[in-house]
Amino acid sequence: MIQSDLARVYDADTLWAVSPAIALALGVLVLLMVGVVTHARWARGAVVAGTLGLSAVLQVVVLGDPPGAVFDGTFMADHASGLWGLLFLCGTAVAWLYSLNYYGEDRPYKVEHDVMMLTTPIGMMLMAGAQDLLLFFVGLELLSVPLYALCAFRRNRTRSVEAGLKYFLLGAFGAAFYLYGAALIFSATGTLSLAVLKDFGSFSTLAMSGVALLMASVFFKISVFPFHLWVPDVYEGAPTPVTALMATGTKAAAFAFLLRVTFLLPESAAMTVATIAIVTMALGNLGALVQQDVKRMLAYSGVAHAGTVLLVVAAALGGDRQPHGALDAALYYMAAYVFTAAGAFGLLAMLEQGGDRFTHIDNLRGLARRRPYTAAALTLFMLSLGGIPLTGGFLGKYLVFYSAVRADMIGVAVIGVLLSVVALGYYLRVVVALYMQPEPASLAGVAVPARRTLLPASFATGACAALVLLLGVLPRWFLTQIGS
Amino acid sequence: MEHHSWLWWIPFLPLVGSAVCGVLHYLTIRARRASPDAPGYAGLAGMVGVLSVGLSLVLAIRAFLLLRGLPVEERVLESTPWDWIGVGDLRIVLTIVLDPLSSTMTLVVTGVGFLIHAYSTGYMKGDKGYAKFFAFMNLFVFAMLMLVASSNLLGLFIGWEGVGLCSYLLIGFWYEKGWPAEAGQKAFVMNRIGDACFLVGSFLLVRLFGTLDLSEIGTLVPGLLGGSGEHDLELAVTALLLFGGCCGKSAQIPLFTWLPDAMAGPTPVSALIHAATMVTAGVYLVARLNPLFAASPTVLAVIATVGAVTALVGASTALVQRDIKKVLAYSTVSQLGYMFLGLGSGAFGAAIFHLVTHAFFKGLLFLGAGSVIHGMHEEQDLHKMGGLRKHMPRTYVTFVAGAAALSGLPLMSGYFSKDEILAHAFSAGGYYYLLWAVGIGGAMLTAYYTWRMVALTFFGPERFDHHHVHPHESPFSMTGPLAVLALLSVGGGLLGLAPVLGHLAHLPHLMGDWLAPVVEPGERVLAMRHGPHGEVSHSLEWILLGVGAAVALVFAYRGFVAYRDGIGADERLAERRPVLAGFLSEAWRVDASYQSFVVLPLGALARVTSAVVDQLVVDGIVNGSATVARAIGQRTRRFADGDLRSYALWIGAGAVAISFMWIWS
Repeated sequence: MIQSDLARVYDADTLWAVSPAIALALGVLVLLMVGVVTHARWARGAVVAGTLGLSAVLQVVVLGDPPGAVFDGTFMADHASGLWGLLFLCGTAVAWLYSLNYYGEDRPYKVEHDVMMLTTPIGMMLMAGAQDLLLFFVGLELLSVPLYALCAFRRNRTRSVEAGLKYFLLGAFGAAFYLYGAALIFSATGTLSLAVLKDFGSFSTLAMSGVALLMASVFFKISVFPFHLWVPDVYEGAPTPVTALMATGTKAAAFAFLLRVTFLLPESAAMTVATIAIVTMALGNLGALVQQDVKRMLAYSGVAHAGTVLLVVAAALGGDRQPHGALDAALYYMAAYVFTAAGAFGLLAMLEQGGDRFTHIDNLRGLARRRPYTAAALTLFMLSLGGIPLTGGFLGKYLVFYSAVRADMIGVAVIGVLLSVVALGYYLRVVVALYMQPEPASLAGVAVPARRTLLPASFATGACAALVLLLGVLPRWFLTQIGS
Repeated sequence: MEHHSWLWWIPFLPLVGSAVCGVLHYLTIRARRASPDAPGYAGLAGMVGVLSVGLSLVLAIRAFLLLRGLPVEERVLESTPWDWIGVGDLRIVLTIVLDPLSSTMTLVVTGVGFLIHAYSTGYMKGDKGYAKFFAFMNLFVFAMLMLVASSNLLGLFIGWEGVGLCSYLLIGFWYEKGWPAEAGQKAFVMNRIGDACFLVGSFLLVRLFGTLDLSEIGTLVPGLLGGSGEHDLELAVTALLLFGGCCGKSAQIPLFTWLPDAMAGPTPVSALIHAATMVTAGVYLVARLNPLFAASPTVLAVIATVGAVTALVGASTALVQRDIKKVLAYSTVSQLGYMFLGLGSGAFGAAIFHLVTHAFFKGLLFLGAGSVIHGMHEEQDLHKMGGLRKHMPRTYVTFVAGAAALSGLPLMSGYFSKDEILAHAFSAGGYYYLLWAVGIGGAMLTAYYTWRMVALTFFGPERFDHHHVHPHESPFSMTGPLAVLALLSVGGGLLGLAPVLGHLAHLPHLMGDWLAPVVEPGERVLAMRHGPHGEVSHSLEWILLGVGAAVALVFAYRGFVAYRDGIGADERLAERRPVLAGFLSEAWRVDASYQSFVVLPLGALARVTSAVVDQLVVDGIVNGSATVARAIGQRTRRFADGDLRSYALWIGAGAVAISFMWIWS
């Protein structure tokens, strides 16, 4: 990098490759200006929507003809990073739509909120495309720092501030692991480039310790055992739209990177990774089983899903030789999860518009009669999370377990499938509450918020629901996009 | 092979019907919000619900006639394909395929389904969820048709999960009662245990055969059998896993306890889903993949044993039930056991024959019971009935016809289908003699409990409170379907007369000939594995038929006589053998043992896990960050508990642990 000449690094191809991220960065700047000039909601909304739209269009065009490795080989703009990028943009857009009418008391700072939200996908894109350990770190921080602030955004609520601080302290702790790991790898091998590391046959003990620390930090971000303990507290305390963003975008970005660095692990690590995956699924599902708060239940469920998709990594290490098998399965799974979980968290956010009482399962009782569409959408998301056929969640699970079977990890697949049986128990409890239990008397007089204020959230819900169904009913189209 | 795109309409018509009913339900709710007594669109929804299944039946008949017109070996109709998934080596094309087996199943599902839908228009009259009911019922028919007509195991699985979901929704239909919702959940979770086995089995199938196409799998099985038998174990494990799925869906031991609880749903649901169609899905699956199951003698023996034992447990439990629907539920469990005994004996055709006759007579009995319950103002307790034959003559006559078929009285449909299964079990010889004996024992109990139920319902003193209960006959919309099903239950035997009788009457075994091309591959595999199947001689066949008839007649008579004059026999049993009575009425205490060995430990585990995660980890470690907490604000008790430190500790420990593991491996 140092000896390379700047003109070669920053050629047109390079700028083109990262144009979606550049669009986002410019949008962030414009949004800051707009915030100074006017307080009009529509202006702010137009900038955010326009930026996300422009970035998505650029991403689609780049995806049509991926430039490959750029920035002197530190960033990979390939097919996979393009698809991940689109997924991040979708996740951000959904979270933003749900956030529009979510905050009551903190409205003065909405510009800052949107600025931070718009910054996160830049970080995610850098993480997903990183071919260099340092670039990944830049992306990681670009994602994490705004999220720390966003978690604490409801600054006069103890839980929110607590969540932000917890996430920040533990995130900093995790980042330290990452940096130390990268430093160890550098001192052992003399490089931070994944392309160069790929050529190393085996690693020394020093490098291997570095890899382990690095993995610990990535595992922290995708929240698998034993790095998942913060998840329920933070997810529960954070403002719900932010939770939606964390649960989907962060996880997907860390996962995209994990797939890029899987080769650092020896094949013998397959069993460790599989064990971590299984334990994570078990703890996530069992934890979710006893939750009374739906937001917290979804947090545990998110942990369980992270465990499931980690199986793909175990399978890739353990001998699933299907070309792109792991990537296909992971992308599909995460796509289904992003839309399902974003929709589910988003619906909770939408319900909270009427007060903070709605995330407890008792408060969802009989909702189907008062708000039939909301109940129907929430049911769809629950079924998808539970992996019922003809929803995206089913096929994602199927591909993941199928990948494990191809790698001869039958026992692991069996336990995984059994654990997902347990999972259905708590997803169904929500459906039962929605449709099959009488409304609690305390909610009898609660009015549905005005339709106008629900519009953005309804739009996001409709889009998520449609995509969850499409992923389940017409998976072929998506799989062709992923596979091409 | 012929291609017909209209075949898609057989499952999709009910789906459309379901959507329309759903919209009508929504409109009804809106109308009622304006004025609570508005009629809404209930009548229209009923019509749509019945018609969509009726039209589907017409198409199914058309397909059947087309099939029959084709030469025997070409009897397959295929719809246009739908390319569903394509990734790597996983390519899944969904197609509707009708061969003699699927065609039989579609006829049963749409035919019996149509009658039950028609019956429901009367039974559910006045229910405030009328349109919703038909939406769910139609959705169920759609899923069931996908299940029986899909060319691909994954397509079958869509239907498989779909019927489970509808069953769950319909069991919990009357959720105001409180317990149905819970029963629905139990059914769904138990089914999911089976489904987990099913899914894993399907993964193994792909590994073994590289395809999930059902007919391809059938043709590929013989190729794996040759040589040193290196695939034998894999084949057996795959078959057993799939059978595990069947145990869940078809309520076999050890997963049968959900079915009696499922009776909490409206009675037409019990008739359609929990007697005639959904619970037979497991039987269909084994029959469909018959070469795979035939490939392993052990697997067949397991299936036959599970079936025989379930038949006995179900029948003995039905002996002492007081709830009329519970009697029928355990009876269904038991009859499904017979079907699996047949499959396990290699009599795939006979099992499907019994499936068909069972759909007739058990559908009839459930609908009859529904008519009784309807007429008795929601009373289900046999001890509070009696003497109803005067009040409900039409229900009485048809119910007796169904009872005759269920108990296997000579020449009724159930007589032929059950005896065909038992004859096959007998001719399999060896260990199967024992299973045959168990089956005969079950048949004795069946005849006994069936006629106990008839006697307690329709004969003897009237034990209900005459001031509050005024039994009345049900309307024609309910008795009409009863009459049709009664005819089928009595005459259904003509579809498959026992060979010796058929010989006398110059009637072929219609069902056997019709299904022959489907079960033939399995029989070939059986012949490869076991040598030629023992033929039953004419004299032996006469003897077996005679034994079946004698057992049915004797025990039907005894059951009837014991309860003709009232509930004395039940009281004497409870008095003299309280332990036995309790043991039987709780279905051999299987459910209770699940409660203590599975449910409670799992719940405890979950609570402990969450306690560990939420509290122990949090509280157990020194609380030191109080200064931070004070800086933040007042109510931050959770911080003071020191959970942050412990989380960090876990992260650190985890990092160290994986470092050690990876460095040393």
